[in-house]
Amino acid sequence: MAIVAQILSARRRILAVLAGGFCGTLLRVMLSSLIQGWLGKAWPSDILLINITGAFLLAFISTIADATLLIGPTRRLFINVGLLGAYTTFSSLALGDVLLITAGRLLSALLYLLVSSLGGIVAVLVGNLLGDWYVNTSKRLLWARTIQRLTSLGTDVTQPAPLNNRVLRKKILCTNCQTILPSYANFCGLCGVKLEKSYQNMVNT
Amino acid sequence: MGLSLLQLGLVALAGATGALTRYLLGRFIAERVRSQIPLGTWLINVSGAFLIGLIAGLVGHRVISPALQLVLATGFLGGYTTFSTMQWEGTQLIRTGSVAYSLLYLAGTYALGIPLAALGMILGRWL
Repeated sequence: MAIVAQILSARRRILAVLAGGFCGTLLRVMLSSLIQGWLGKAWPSDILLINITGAFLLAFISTIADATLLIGPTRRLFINVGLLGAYTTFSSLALGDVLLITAGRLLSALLYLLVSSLGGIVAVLVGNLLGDWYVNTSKRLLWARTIQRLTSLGTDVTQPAPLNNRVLRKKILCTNCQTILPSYANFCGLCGVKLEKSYQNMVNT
Repeated sequence: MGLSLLQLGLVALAGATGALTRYLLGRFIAERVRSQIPLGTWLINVSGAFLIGLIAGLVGHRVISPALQLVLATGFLGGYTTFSTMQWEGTQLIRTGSVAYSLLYLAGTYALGIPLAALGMILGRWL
């Protein structure tokens, strides 16, 4: 989050969170009434389902965002902080639990709490695992596709890539003994000094 | 639940405001308080729980209309508090090896949030 703050302007960050919060709240309200239509209002299954799915998605997306460039800082603010943050809710959970307690359904209240908290942890862990799996699979696929493409172009992938002409033509000057050496050399073959790869020492031949 | 488009828009707008409040307050606290436990999210969730109880109590007292409750509680407080970030942070604490902190954080949120919601409700009815 600290890095995000340095890259993005305040206006961009605020807009991303606002837009995400708008969509997340809309999603929660509509899904909540939909689930209540199916399962009834006796037990707060709507908030439970919303919270668990939200926790899963947050873990899944955060894992992918940490490992790849698919989700940049703005998208992360929009999805994680705005959308999923507003989609899930703790206050309705607490109120729902208090309402169960005041209705005298203590066992239901306890069950609601346990399923929410433990289910939330399990959802995060599953989201983490699936995110890792997604990242590894896509990396493997990308690698396989690159090899395939190189092979189809006639490159022998078992051999190291040859140095191209531009690298071979460039020379480097040894600052110690003034010998001109190939630019890919790291040490001077004559005096053994480590070569400084700066532009001043590069010689075009 | 027959919600008009205007109501739905107002609720979503309140939710967006809540999300922004959470983001700004969370950053404000994170910049000032160095702690292993994410105190920002903790404070946000606990205070949101108290406020939703207070609003529910006031509705029972007919100070706040159910339509306003929808905007304030479901909209603003729903966007303000968060479950996903809390569980994510709690699980990250387990992964980094501080199981005790994770338990303290998660249990601390539930154990304080629910009594505070009840307290808010009692206070709202009493007011």
